[in-house]
Amino acid sequence: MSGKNFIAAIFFIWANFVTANAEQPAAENYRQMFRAGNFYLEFADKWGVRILAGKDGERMERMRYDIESGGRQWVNPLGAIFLGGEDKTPEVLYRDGRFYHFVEKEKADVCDEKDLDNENLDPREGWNKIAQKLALPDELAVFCWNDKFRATTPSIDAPVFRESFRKNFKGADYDCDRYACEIKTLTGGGAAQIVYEILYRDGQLFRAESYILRNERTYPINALEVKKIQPDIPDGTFKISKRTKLYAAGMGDEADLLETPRQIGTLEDLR
Amino acid sequence: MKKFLIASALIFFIFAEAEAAQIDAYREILLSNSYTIRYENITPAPRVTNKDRVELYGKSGLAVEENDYLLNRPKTGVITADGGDRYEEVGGEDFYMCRLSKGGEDFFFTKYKKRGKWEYVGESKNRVVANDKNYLAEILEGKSFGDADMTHLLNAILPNEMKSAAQSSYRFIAAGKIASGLDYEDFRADSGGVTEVVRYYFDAGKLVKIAAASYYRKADGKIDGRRCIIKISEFSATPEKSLLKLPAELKDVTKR
Repeated sequence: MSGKNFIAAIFFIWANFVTANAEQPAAENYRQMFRAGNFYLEFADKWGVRILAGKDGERMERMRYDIESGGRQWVNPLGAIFLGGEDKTPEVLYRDGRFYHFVEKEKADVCDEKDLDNENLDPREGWNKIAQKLALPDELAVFCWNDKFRATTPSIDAPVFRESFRKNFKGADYDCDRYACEIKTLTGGGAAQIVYEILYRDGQLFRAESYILRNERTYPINALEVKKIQPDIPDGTFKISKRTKLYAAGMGDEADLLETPRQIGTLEDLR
Repeated sequence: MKKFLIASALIFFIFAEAEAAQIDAYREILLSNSYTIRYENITPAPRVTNKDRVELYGKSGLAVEENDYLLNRPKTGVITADGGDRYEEVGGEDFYMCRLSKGGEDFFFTKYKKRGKWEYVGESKNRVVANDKNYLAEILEGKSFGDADMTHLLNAILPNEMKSAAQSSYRFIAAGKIASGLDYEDFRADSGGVTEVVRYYFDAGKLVKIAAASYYRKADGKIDGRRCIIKISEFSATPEKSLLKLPAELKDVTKR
């Protein structure tokens, strides 16, 4: 082999190695966007289409509609009754250290963040689930592992980038980044792996899948299709009426026992 | 003196291993994935609070503690397994929450007694749909064995290499015999500020009762805790195959 050919061969091997061992350039952009906390994410999974947005420390979530029932049937009947078409206003909102759960368009239950661990908090109001609704989806954990609203477990460390490759999805090939994390056992071994595969179309994230890898068998966890992911937040995303009546979260007091929620004012009073 | 101490320690460990042997048979039964367990948890479950928030990937078992009807009452349960197929039911008197796991799918339904006859409700009355099995929750929390107490106390006897790092590690403490003639084996776990002791009772080698107590210090410095007593009426290596299929009244309406 001549010196020129040798160098070309080395370059070819190096280029392939780098390609197979580098994330898509957009990955770091998404990571920075979520870290900055200003984003708009609209995605669909088997449960429906959801919107999550963050702005200056605030976070909102809403479910838009149920996929299986034909695309425009509201999962939350309030959507159909009060909101109609394309409203993106929150169903759950975190603002100024408080969680708001909108049970009607202008009626919300409120819980202070510091009270979430209060053992008197009425479990029937499901504040644990309400707070978790604000967490970015686990399929995107590779971009937002330290997200404030994500629950964590000592069994699982942050996913690590493994490889980049071309993956076929519905008859077309896409760039795909694969990440994995170990589920640790009490003895320090690996019980299984959670694998994340992030698919890109024209350099933009459009699909994320996660599955368990255990004893060389895979078990799907979930998959989502990203409809919009951007730092710009559409108008109205965080819009809520200042007339919204606020009710205190149940703390096992008399009002709680009598099932007569205690109104603590309107949103305007609190601002 | 040194030799005496070493010999004493050896005798203690040999004795301890030997004394812990009775629970081993039940560990083997669980690991074989072939069993039928019937029990009664006579201790009502504590009210679920927002502290119970470790639901990162859903729950491995039935949400018995979130069912208002089953709160504050003793519960009976049946768990039977034959390889990958499993059936669990937990309830009391005339209402049970049930799950049949078959072929990687979970069928959740309830059964209740109406005018002396069992009625079944899945997605709706007499109809049930399959859900994807939550393997991840099972890896993180361990297999479900009916209600949360029984799940916890049976996972406790499984080897640490099978448990995720989020679960508790139990160590053998002591064994002996109580005045009534029952043998016991004690285990202890200290995890996340909670101390837990579990005593497994045996009648001529047969597991008949499990008693557990746990305590922890609250934020205000006061000690809090709870105890739990479970009576075991059956723990055999024989699956009850009649339970490993959907009841005749329930129609599988899953769109596959």
